[in-house]
Parts: sequence; C-alpha cells; structure tokens
Amino acid sequence: MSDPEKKDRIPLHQSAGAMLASRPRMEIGGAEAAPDPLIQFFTSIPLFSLLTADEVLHLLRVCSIETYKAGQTIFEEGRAADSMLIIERGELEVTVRGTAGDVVVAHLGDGSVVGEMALIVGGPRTATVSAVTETRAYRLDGRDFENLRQQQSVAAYKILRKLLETLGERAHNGAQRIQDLFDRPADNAPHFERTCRDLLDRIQRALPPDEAP
Amino acid sequence: MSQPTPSRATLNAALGRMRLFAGLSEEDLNIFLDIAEVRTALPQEHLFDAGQPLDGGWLLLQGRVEIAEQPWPRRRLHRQVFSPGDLFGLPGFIKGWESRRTAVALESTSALYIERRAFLRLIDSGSLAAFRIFDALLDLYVQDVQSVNQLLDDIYSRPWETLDLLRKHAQP
Repeated sequence: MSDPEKKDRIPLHQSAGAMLASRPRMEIGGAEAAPDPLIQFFTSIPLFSLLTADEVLHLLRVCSIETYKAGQTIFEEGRAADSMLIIERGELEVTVRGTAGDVVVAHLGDGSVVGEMALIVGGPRTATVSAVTETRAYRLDGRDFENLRQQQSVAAYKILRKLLETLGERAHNGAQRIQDLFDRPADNAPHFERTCRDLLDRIQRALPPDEAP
Repeated sequence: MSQPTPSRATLNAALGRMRLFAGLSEEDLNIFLDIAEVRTALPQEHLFDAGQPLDGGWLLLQGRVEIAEQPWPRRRLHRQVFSPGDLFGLPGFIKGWESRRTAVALESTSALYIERRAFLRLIDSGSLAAFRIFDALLDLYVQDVQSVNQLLDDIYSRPWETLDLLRKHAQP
C-alpha cells in the first residue's frame, strides 16, 4: 500500500529557508522596517503567536513548502503521524471513519494548522486530511521539531508551551464534562438517555438489513 | 509550616542531584531558583485541594506527598505517592485550571513552588532548567489527557451502565 503522505505529495523542491533567502532583504525588528507579511501570517496563528520575528525565521528554515492538488489525500487515518501543516492558502477537509462511513468533522482554511499533536505525541493519525481545493502549506516534520528542541531553541519551547496549553485544555474540558454530567444527575439522566437512544438508532439505520438486530 | 528554609547553596546542590536537571550548571539552576519559593509542610498538611485553582506548580525536594483523586463515574480513590524530584500540581504550570486532585504531605516535606507567570517568563528567556521542566511536563500532560479520555470512554462506551449510575445518584 502506498503512503499518501509521501507519494501523493507534490514537492516544489523548495524549502521555506530557500524561499526566505530569495526574498528581498528585510530588517527584522528595526524601527523603520515594514511589518513582514510572512511573519505577520505566522504570528497571527495562535500556535506561533509567542514567537518573535527572528524565531519565526528560525522556524521557517526547517519548514518545507508543499502544494497539494484538489482531492489529494494528505494525511491518512491510522498512518504514523510525523508532521504538521500550516495552511497558507487553500481548503482542507478532515474526516474520520465511522460505522456508517466517513464523517466530515472539519473544514480548514488559510492560517489553520493540522496535525500539530504529531510534534509531541506521535502515534497514528486520528483523522484523514484531504485537499478540497489546491492548497499551499508549510510542513514541519516532527523530527525537525525534535532537533530544534535538542538545540534548546526558544522557538521550539514557545510552540511546546502552546501545545501544552492545548493538552491541558483538553484534560480540563474532558474532566469538566464528566463533572457536569454527574453533578446534576437528575437533570442529566433524561438527556443522556435520549442521546444514547439516538445514537443506537443511527447505528441500527446504518447497518445493512441482514446485520440489523 | 515551621521548618527552616534551606540556603541557596543547599538548594542548588539538591537540584543538581536530581535526574531532571542532570548536567545543568550552577548558574542555570540559580536562574531557576530565583523564581522558586521554598514551601514546607508538616505531616497530613494539605498543599492544595481538589477544586482549587492553581497559580503555579510544585517540585518536591524532600519528604513524600500523596496526590489523591476520586474521579467519576466509579469514584474509586486513586492515590499516588510522590518523591523528591517529582513535579506535581500540573494545572498550575501552564494555566490556572482547578486541580482535580488533593496533595497532602505524608511526612515533613519541603517543595519548590514555581509561580506560573515567572516560570513562563523563564521559558521565553531560554532557561535550560525551565526547558527541562517543560520536557517532563509534556509526558505528564499526555498521561493526564489519556487518563481523562479513559474516563470518557468508560462513560460513553457503556452508556446503559452510565445511565443506571446517573439514575442511582439522582435518587434523593
């Protein structure tokens, strides 16, 4: 079986670092310097919002630029997660396998990031990501991010801080959801029962007639 | 909390012996100690309680601390005993989330309290000791998410059991 993360990619043979080198020289942080659109683009993304202009440039040196055709699979659910994407331009669709087929869980556009947990958690992809339109994105490999961490890069640790916030938020929200459910059991039991019955109903309707109970 | 505060040199030596900070210089550790505050506790004294928002995290220096949690749906008591070199009070390191756990000193204990904002400033300034703590926190946060996911799985993969439990708790 081919690896869509490798085979279907259209490498432009251009790293973000090479692109930076070919751009007109800019004075980062200088009083007279005009704000650089690329740096503005990165720092407007919450994951990179703590980075200085120099740190964005440092990060870009290890990113590659990729272009994906409409309909192309970029990440496939179940495959090893080893990189993340920062969408510069285009639209991606995120789907997960369900009992009744694939379910679209999100559409991502310009400035979105996808697969960022691959930088710290690894493991298999939890969803499939495909291009809806032609998409141009920056790709950051987990291995390169790990190298930045090994080099004690402040940029890497600022990104890590944002990823830890996301992880902490998930743990907090999940625990809060459980707490809320059991804090008011009399109020929540009827709603929980309705949800369960709806779910069961949907599963039964999705099954082929000969497999239905 | 009546134990004498150890000197900076004693603290520096104690941190230097921890695996967490192996290979770091005295200067690296001093930068970290500048933002840390020594707190002591007597046996059975609570360092924090479940439901309490935390403004910082903890690094145990001496003694043992029990971290206890009684999560839904089964309300089984989970106890973990922490030893010197362990980090605890996770929600306080990154944000001021409420703790789901209670921390109680099992014996005379001293710990470094690491106030969040000062700690995050250390990260921004490139402190190697703060980076080491972040590396350790990463694994702990991943484990924490996994444990909450396990509880959610427990609740939603056996919905009828959960419903029975809700009805049982709903009875006056």
